[in-house]
Amino acid sequence: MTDVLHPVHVGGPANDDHDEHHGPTGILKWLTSTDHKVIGLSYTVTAVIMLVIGGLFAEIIRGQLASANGTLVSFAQYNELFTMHGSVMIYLFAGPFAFGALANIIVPIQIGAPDMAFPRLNALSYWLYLTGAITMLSGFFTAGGAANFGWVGYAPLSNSLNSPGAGADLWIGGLLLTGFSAIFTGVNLTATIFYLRAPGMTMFRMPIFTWNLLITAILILLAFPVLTAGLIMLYADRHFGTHIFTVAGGGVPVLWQHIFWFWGHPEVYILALPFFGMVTEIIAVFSRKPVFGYKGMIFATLSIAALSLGVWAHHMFTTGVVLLPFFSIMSLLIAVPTGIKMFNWIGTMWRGQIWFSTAMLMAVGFVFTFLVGGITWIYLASPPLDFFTHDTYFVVAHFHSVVMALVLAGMGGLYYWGPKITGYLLNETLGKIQFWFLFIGIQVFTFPMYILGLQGMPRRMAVYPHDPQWVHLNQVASLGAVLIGVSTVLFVVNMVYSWKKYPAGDNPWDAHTLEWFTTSPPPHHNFYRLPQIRSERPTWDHNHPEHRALQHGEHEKTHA
Amino acid sequence: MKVEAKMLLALGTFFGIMCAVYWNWSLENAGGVMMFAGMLLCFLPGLYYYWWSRRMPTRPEDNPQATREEGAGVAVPSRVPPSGPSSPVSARSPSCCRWCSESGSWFRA
Repeated sequence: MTDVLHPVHVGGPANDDHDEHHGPTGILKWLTSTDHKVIGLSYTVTAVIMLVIGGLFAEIIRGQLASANGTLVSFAQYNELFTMHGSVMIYLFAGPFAFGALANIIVPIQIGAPDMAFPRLNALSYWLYLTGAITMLSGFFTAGGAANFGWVGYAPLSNSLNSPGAGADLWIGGLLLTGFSAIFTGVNLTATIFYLRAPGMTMFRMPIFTWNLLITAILILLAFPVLTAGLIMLYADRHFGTHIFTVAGGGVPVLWQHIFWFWGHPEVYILALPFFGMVTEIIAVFSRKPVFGYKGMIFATLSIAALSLGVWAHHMFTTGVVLLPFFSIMSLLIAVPTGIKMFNWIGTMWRGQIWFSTAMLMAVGFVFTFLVGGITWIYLASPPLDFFTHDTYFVVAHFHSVVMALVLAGMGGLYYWGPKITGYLLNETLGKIQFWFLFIGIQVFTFPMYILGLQGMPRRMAVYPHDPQWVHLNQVASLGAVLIGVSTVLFVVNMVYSWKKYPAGDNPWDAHTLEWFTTSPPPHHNFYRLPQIRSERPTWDHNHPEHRALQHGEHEKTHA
Repeated sequence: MKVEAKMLLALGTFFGIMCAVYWNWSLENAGGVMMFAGMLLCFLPGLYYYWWSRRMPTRPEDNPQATREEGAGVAVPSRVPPSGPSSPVSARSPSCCRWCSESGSWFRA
């Protein structure tokens, strides 16, 4: 029987005696490996570097906005900063971290597969991502600077007349490369989950994280080709003389917004669903209970994904050319399955033996922060309120609440699965200090921006009117950003401090799912042996046979 | 493959309904075309998986009572490279091995 202090080493020896793989080592391993764990680690490290780069841009932006007529950067530099901050955070950090990093490492092990379905395609995905990231960031080294038209690249601002430099072309090229990377990852994830599950691992026994990644992969396959097409059209307008988005040639500028947001809204769910899955796993384990409403979670996630493809024009309410009632109704409807997930997370915790480890703190922090962001979504889904708050800091605060909640969940995922991947735990005290800096920093950062938005402060402005209240609120938001920066530094300090210090064992959290059955770190093809899989908690069933999941028709014996 | 098929067909049906309502209500073409294409993208694999699930026997990964031994599939010897997976317990089903070797062999390590 396994408990946290005395884990049973069921997976086999943690050396290579039983593992026949003799691949390259050192730098050659990192350059040529097709092992999903190595590729996933590469994604993780690259994505965290992108987080730091995007975070540095954010600190400079907040430094500029700490005073009404800030002179930290010029107006042109400010435009580049907010464009590249958004681009780096969404295209180069959140997306790849969500479906390339932890997904690559964990999904095959969670379903009992030896690797992803297409290992070489997996490697290609990573190298396309890295190349795309370098391409996009190299815009800073061009004469005209990086792209400066916002992370959404609206036409006609992004055409060759208004954005003539190479930075814009590098932005488009970088996005195309990372887009293909995402599509290939979507193909790989779908094929892996459909075809490489272990015997007995039926679809309704898969962990919720894997389900969420499957639905994310399907969303990627539906949405990313649309972005790719739009980018090719934009590039053609810039360089091949087409007039798809220019009025002069008979084109329609708002068509870019339709195409972009048809991708853009599913994209935010492509970012969010993997983190939802992480939180579900963490809450169940650290409440020592099965997931509350397992099938409800799955159907809620499917509903969110389905609805997300029909709400794109709520980003375009103020253009005057979209069907307001349709998109308003569909946007409000998404709150229903999201609410189901919220209640299921609470239900999982309810009357559980809750252990507030760092991972659990991060998960609970996510639930609160995402709730705040989600409630403000309801306001924005209503056209009259959106007309008032569009392009103000209310929108900025809303989406930062949501994405910072995802950062909390991602940190929780790293603390939860880090021991499985590396074989070593991170220091819990430092982790909890990091959590409080991050959580408090997020609230201090976002709440003033809600008020600023309601008072009419527009977004994407380097300077603003010298209203004492606006200055004060901006300074408080900048303080929040500093706290978030400190938490990131603490995370790096924790990784360095804890390096190979606290051996984890196979299952330090007494967790439920299949990845905790194997060694930490797993061997080359993930398992020396597999347990019988008879429920969605095979490791728990193996370690706690007295509390295993009952089969259909089986009833608990009652005591006389 | 029944669950996978039903999931994709349900998504496709939902997109179809959404597309029909939106296209007729808004008379806007771009979004309607994109939703229609999304519907086709769901129906195409969904119909294939549904046809496949009716035609083929239950795979070990779809059998709730499957044993580990059932999952140790048969690899086609001539197509398995020497450095290929050699784990004592293979998690691949026979159909997956055949599918991988016939349609995806270049992408296998």
